[in-house]
Amino acid sequence: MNTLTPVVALLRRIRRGRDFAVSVACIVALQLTLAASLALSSLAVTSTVLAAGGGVVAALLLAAGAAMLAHGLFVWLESWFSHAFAYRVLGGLRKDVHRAIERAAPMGLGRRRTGDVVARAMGDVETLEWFFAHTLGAALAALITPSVLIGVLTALTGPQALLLLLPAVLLVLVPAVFQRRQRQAGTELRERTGALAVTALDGIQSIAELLSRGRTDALQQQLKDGTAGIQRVKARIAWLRGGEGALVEVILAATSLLVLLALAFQAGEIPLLLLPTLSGLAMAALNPVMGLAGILARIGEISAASSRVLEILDLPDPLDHALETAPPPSAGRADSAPALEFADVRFSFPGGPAVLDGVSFQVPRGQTLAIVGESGAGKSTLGSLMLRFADPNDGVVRVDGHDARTLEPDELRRLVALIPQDSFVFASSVRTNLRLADPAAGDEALWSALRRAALAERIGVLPDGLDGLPGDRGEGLSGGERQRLGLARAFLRDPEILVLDESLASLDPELEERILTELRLARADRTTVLIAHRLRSIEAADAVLFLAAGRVRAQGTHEELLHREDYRGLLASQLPDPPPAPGGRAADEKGGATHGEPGH
Amino acid sequence: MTLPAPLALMRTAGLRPLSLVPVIALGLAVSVTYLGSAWLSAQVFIAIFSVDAPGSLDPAGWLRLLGALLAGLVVLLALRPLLVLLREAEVNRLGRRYKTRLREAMGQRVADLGPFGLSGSRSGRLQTLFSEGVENLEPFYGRYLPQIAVTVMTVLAAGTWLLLVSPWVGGALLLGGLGVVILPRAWDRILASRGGEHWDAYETLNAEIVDSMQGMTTLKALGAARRRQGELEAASDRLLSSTMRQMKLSLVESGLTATAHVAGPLIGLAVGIWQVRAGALDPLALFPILLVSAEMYRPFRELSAHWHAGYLGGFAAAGIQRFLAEGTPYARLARQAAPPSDAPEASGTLGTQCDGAGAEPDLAADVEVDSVTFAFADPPGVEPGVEAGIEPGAEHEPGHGPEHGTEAHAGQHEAPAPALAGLTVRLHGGELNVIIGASGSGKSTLAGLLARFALPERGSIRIGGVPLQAIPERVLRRRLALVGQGASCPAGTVREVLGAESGPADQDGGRTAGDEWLTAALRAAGLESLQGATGSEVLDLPVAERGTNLSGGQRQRLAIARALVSRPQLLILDEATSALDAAREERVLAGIREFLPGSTLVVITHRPAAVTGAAHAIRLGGGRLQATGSGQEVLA
Repeated sequence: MNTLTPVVALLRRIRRGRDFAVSVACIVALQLTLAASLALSSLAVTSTVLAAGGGVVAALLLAAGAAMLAHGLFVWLESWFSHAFAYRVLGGLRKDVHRAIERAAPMGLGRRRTGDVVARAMGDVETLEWFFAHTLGAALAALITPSVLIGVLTALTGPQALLLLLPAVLLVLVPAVFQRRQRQAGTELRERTGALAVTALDGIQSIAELLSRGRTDALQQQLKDGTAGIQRVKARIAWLRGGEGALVEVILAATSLLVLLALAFQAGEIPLLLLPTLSGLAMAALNPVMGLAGILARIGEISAASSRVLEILDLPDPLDHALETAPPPSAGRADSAPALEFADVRFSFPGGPAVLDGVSFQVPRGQTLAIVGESGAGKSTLGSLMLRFADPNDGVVRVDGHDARTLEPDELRRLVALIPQDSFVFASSVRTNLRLADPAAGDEALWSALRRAALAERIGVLPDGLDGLPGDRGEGLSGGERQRLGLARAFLRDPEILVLDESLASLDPELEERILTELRLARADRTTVLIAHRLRSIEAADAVLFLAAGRVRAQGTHEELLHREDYRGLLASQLPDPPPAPGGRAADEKGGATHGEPGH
Repeated sequence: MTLPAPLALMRTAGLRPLSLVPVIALGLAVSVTYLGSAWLSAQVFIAIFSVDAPGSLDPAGWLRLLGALLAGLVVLLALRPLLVLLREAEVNRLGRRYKTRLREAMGQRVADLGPFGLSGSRSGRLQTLFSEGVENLEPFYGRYLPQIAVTVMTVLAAGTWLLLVSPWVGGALLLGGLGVVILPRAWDRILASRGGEHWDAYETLNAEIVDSMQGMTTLKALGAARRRQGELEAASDRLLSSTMRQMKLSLVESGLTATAHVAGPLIGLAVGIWQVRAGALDPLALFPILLVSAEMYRPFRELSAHWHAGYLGGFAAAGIQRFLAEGTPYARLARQAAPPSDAPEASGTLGTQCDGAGAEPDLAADVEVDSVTFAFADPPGVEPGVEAGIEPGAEHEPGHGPEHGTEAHAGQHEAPAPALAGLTVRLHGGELNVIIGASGSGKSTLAGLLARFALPERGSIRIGGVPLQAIPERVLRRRLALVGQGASCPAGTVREVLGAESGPADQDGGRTAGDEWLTAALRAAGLESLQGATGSEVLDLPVAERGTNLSGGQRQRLAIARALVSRPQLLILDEATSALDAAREERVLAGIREFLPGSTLVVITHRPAAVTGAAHAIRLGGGRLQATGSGQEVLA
């Protein structure tokens, strides 16, 4: 049954046997006490009808009452234990999902959409709550309780009670008939719900564009289609469930009719006193199985939710941790070794073309390297490998002379920090955002970092200062301010090796230069890697690495590289000689215009 | 559970109480089949137990009676699954209607609030309301609510019948039923606050995971991912403990309810037996009492099952209700001030405002901004509240209490000033206008007002002499485009990203967005080549969500190309070129000018380099005009 495969796989990850055993025991107990209470009250009725003594009837009623109280108690205990079990499992799963995201991001997530991953972490996990709280235990109990009751019946009436096993087995088989379709529908339901979350999140986050283009109706249409799609699948599931329900009812109806008939005709052989009790017990034996059928009807959705969650949990770890040494080899820092070294590094995404195809270079300690190249040349991938967002497929990245793979990622990221082009700003306060870089930093240090990133004035005029909230994804700040917040983090972090991935692109050149100088002043021995487009940044670097199509096209100082035509072509528009005509023509003829002009 | 919020939301959802009638009727019919089969089974027992009684039927008659009873049972048992199926279909049909209505209302709300009105809220939380929030309403409206009616009616009907059999038994069972209803409700008030807490924690966790996903690169790059992990796990633990706290209470209710379900029939039975012994009741009447009273309490059990499935819906309803009611609908107010979209046609005959010929207003004309003032009611982002009291500066300023907080004061620690304070400026039609100014000088607010995301509080904006709010919505949206700095990007191929702009909403026929046109727009935006592809090949390249497979500059150029496709007369670039270097920016601007001859181009930037060559430049500061003239003059 492949429907169960993901469910079982998920169960294997959860080790909460004791909680689970207790809840199963409670379910069996509550079912048996209910049956006992029913049986005893039936017995009280027949005793009365058959004119038994008042004491017997009163005793039976009291016993039924006791069973009733026990039933209530077990219902309470069961619901507590099964929910506690379920929610602890869910809490654990959410953590695991988040850890998986942490492990794989940003390179291992591929094209997954935020809304979709979040839908898995929240919605799908929540769907599983129902399964863990109401299904798993009930399924086991549905095997135990009927066995016990059928045993009792056998003792009372003889082996013909074993005939009840037949409808019990039939009831379990019913869902099996539908399971394939159920799984398909369930998968579709979870996927459509996830898609709706994606639509909503995209719509909300891009409302300015939608509104300015008068395209909010498109969002409306998508929401409407999404809802209609969900309802269509839900209708299909309802019909499937209805079909199952009908089969279950037919089996139960046939059984109860047969039981009644059998009792009617055996009226002479079985003591009259027991007749209604036996009929009641027979039904009580089948009830848990019937409940199970209803539960299994949702197995499709549960199975789909499980595989969606598993897909995230099983995201491959892009890192190979085998070489990491437990105590970081910080003692062995060789000052002679370059701060950063790439040796014949190759990298590609699984199944994709080579992004880096044999890249080698060194950055001596305290120097600044500028990495230039067309978009897609592999510049940002180089930065990602420096931070160990992934390991190279081949070749070695060395930091302080150590193979990066021997350093624990967190240890490595203490030495190397990267400021991405669009630094993410969290919705929490400015202080919390800054302290991501240094959780121990006091306000004085925070203000100093803000000052050096030229952001102190902006934050200073806010009534709440460091406690001010920058809004959802930092929307209260402009793009340049978000970048400067990112740079303030760099000052706080103060790493040995700093990678700036176009992190100054939104700033005025003057500001860019000022901040670069501040960064240099802050730490004399700092090694800096600048992924940049701007001529000024490039000129300021000690060396330039020219990357093209995943290979090193050339390296050297800016002046040396200026002799190369392709390098001049890359920077053409920024080189001083061509006149930057305001509102200039021919911007579309990039090839001709830019390659030609430097030659004058 | 708090009923007021979901009940109030029913009106918004267009769900009238009467439309629940079919679901209730079908639920009742199901109950009837249960009661009926209980009664028939009781008759079977009566027949069995009276077989030897004096004056009973002859064997043949007895068999006929038994056969008839069993046939009746068969009919009822066959009917039940059919009824259940019909009820499910009806719940689904109903759900489709109100879920669509609600999501429509919420989507509309997003559009009504616009970027100005949404600026204080977290997208991750809102998204939860849209998806799980609305889905959670279905078990609430479709099952829990109707089941309340079914339960009451079933209990009343069965109770009345039992009253006829024996007033004492019927009375006891009705009283018991009342108890089952009232007893658990005592828990509801406590549960209400706890459940709200739970939903709140759920929404927050959702928002945190959205942030984590989108910010993971930043977190890892700073070595902060583990720490953040710890914080999130703490949030997750809070969700867990709030859930558990709530459960401890709600589950006592299930225990009590379960006891009551068994206790009711048992008490009824005890009363019945007492009546029999007192000689007031035929002993055989105990069978229907035993079996019918059990079925009479069955709807309660379903009610608590539905409660469990639907209770989150109750809290989601409160969240949806709040979202639909709170905040300032800036965009709607602005839209409402405009004439209806079909006005130009109508005004042609009436000969009103725009021009007599009924021609649409020309958005490429001069834009006059006249003493415009605008302040955010709920200040966005960084500027929350007006609580200046905690600041040292405020203490030394007697009379500067929070109540004066909205007034602008000179000096460092002033309360948030209006984003625009009486701004008067002219933008030249058909030409390039560059706006510069420090962060917070009001540039983006001006852009938002030009795009009519909100109306100015005071002052006016006119385009070619026509007040901005007199331009019909449809015209404005077709002729004006705004590209922000963080322009979003749907996933798909480049062609799909661009083509989305000329979808079915496009109504002026003739313009087709053929590949040639799209390629031209790309070229104008400086994206003639991308990732090794050139020309029309670029159109087939895939774009990931939020354009994460593109560099910042490529993403911005793609967003500009998107705007160009619809050939706007007024194009506003709000720091939309911030990720480009100065030279590239210049080329892109030139490309745009060539692609859109005669259109007005407003470029907001804080890069002086972009200003030098501009014929028309404007510098803003503190929401006011600081300088205007040629680029050189403004920079001087």
